[in-house]
Amino acid sequence: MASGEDGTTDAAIQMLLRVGGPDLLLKMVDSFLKQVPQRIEAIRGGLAGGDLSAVHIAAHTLKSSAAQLGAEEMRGLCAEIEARAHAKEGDGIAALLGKLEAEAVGVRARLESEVERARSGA
Amino acid sequence: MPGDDPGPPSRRKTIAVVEDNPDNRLVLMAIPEDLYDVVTYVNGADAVAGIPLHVPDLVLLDISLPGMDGVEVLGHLRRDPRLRDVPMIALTAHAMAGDRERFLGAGFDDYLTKPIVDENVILRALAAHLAG
Repeated sequence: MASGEDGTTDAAIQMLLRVGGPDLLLKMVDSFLKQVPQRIEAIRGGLAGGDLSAVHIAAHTLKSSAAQLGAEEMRGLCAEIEARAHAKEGDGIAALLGKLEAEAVGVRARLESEVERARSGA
Repeated sequence: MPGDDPGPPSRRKTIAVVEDNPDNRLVLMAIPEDLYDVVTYVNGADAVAGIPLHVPDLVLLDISLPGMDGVEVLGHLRRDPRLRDVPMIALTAHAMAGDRERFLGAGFDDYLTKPIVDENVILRALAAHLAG
């Protein structure tokens, strides 16, 4: 699977375009980009409140969505957070969360660019 | 004339998709919708309550559901005589050795992994299990 410098892969995007054209890609990206800040906030809130179960659930959901859109680096960071939360090992999650937030900026830019490209038929 | 009766139109088959993640649900609805009717359930309890009321031809069942997981949902559904022979396919992000045997041993008819990056893998599995 080809991997972009920004940590996304093309195969997932190409499949969405084959199945549903730009409309499906737009719908998926829109849904994903709306939930990213919500899930990050849920991880932060769970961590601050000592609720690692909430951290686990939010990281698991975001991991699955990131994987379906080919955001491989984000998927990996979520998997690490999920595993630590599941093992009740809160140490290190804050640092991973910082990386996740930074990664989310790049993923957003890449996905918005993919949507623009699909809309213009490029 | 009796020979002119084309008979009843063939019924489109129905796929039940049980998936809590909204993004994955969108994909799992979009892939088969040209060929099949698709009904979705957002968690295990929803599926256990709804599927017996609207028996589908096949169930795509996520394993990592919140609360009641996919294996537990399968157990509930298989206890219903009307659902005993309905093909049920496990969907999982777990890609660990022994998973296939574990899920088939639990009573699933097949096992597919997520993320879905090739729609034909899903379509082939649906066609194979809906044949006949």
